Amino acid sequence: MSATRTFHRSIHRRSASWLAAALLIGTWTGCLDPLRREQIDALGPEEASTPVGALHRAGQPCLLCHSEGGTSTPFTVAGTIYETPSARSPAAGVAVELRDSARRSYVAYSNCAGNFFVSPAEFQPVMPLWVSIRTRELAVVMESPMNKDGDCATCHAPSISSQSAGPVFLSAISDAGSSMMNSQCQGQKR
Amino acid sequence: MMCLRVMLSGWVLGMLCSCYPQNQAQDELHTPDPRSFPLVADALSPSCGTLDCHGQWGRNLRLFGGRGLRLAPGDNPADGATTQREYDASFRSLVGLEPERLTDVLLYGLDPAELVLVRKARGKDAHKGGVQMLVGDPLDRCLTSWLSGSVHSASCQRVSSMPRPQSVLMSPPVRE
Repeated sequence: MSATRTFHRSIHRRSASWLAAALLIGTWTGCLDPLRREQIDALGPEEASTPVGALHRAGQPCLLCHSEGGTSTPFTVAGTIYETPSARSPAAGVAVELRDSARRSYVAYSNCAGNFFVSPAEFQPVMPLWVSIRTRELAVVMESPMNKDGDCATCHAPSISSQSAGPVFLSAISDAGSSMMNSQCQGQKR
Repeated sequence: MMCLRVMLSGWVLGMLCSCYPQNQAQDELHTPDPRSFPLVADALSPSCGTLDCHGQWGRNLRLFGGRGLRLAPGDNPADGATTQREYDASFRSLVGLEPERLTDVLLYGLDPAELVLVRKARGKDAHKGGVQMLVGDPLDRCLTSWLSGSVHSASCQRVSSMPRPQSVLMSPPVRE
């Protein structure tokens, strides 16, 4: 009788272990949305010269990783601004004015890589979101609103095409802006 | 007598079924007027046709336009107006969503609110883009009137010419 009970207990224990293992594997694989994983992989590895942080992966779709269910700190709005359409010179210190459909506003600023990002604690916009960028001399207003999420590079890929409006830039007139992505920029957080 | 009752019941049932629009035998599918569609497309464009939403090839509802997804590979969303070919492509995509039910709306008076297109835009069905129109607002009137066969042009034009929200003076946040 006692031997039978021990045997049953052992079976139960083993089943519980298997169940726990299955749950663990299930949870782990469940975290990896295969479509998103594929899109992230397509972006390629980090650049060796740019450390992971506020300056990395300029021009890439930030919210692929930086959103709920992603692999990094979530952002609500993020993107990169360049001086000109060639997307060679990042535009630093540009005010990115965000205005949501609840008529709330927020201003973010681009860093020396041209990147800007907004955390959910700072501003959680109600879509659609209207955007404009400003410096002391220039103001550019985006014609159409963002409707789905705050990932600029979803529509503003590095090059213009039938499916992309091209990079976000300040001025189409001159391409003389000097690159801000220098050694001073490397160590900055924002 | 019994046989007569069965026949009568069958006839009544048959009549009821044939009166219900969704069960109507459809020999031909009908669509709203393609000539007035540009009015509707221009109204849908700012809220639905952006590149992050239905301005994408992978969507069932694909909306093409001068400030969204371009049909010709050489065109881009930053230059040029919507072409007739783009209006036509958007039209085909829209009317192809639920062709039978759309015919029911046009021929048998089915409420356009029953269409997935309208339910999603009104937020009645799950929609990543959330609520894009409320019952009776200009976009709603524009779309539902066109779907019902008689477009309310003024509502469409009101939406497509709507200015962006006024910017307010914003105080920059302090950042470390």
